[in-house]
Amino acid sequence: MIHALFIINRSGGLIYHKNFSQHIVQLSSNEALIFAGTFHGIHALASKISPAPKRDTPRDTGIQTIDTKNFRMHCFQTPTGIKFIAVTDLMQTQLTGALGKMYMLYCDYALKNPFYNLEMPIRSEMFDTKLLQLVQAH
Amino acid sequence: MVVVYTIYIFDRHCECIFYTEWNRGRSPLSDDSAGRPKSGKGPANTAHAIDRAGTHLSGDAQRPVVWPTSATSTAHRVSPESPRNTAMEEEAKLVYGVVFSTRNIINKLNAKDGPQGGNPGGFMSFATNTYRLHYFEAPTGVKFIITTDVSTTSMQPVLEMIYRNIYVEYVVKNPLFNIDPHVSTPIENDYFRAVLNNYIREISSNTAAS
Repeated sequence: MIHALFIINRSGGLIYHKNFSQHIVQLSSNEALIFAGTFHGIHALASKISPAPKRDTPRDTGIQTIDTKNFRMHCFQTPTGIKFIAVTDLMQTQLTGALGKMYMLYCDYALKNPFYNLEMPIRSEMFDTKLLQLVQAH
Repeated sequence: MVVVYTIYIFDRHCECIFYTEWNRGRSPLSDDSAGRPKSGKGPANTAHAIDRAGTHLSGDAQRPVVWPTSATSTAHRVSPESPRNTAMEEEAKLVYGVVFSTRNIINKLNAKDGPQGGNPGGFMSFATNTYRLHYFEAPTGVKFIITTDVSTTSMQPVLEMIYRNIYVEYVVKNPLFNIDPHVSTPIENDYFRAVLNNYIREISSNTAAS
């Protein structure tokens, strides 16, 4: 069950935010922007404070999951630096597949849209419907 | 098998009052993307991994994987004497910042007008591809942070145990413990350090624990 999705561009701005259930608080647009900025920061800092030996893993890519009492957050960062953050229930241990599909939707319905400006909020009805289908099927 | 890297304890004034490390591969705040250091001659340099100018830490201060005896661990107390310790202080501030911000956004997602302080959202841990950071906050605002390998998912009972049976027993119940609420005192209690050391060693060698 996916409760919400945030998409953050590579400079930390929020370009998409949608709640799919009542399980978590519906953030106001201001709060959602703060969320995006904060997450962008902690994502970058988390890779800086890694204590793990270098020989095992050459490079820390930042936060992948956050576990809390009520939900779990999954973050998927694309090679271009866009972050897809999904809030799910605690049953979801792996969400890379679904987040990858969301990235495909983003490519198909936002990036390929000739009227879409890079790094700007996504306003596309097609993207909304396809995303909702994906979340419900999940 | 649990691989524990570091433990931080922060008091409610956001001060790091305790830090210790095991199996740590990277020196604090070493630049991840910088690659191998030019000045480093391999993994021999252990304690003071500073470059010649003495300004920043080189990227690859390898420590041998040993349990710190009380003699070696005393050297890692957070005090401003050496550049390594300054880097550790800086790193502790970053760790606190990350944890504080994470806790706050999680609290925001949990309750609209919930209480500001504390951990009502129940932030437990976050994971990157190289480590996992576990968080526990006592009702008094003391924060326990432990970093482990990625596959160790549940350290909440361990952190609670450290708080209840080690921190309270050996630090709070110590008659010399400074209870002034306005001043933060670093933990310099060798019993606490020794018991904590033993406990971490115990859970690390316990293969049954995931």
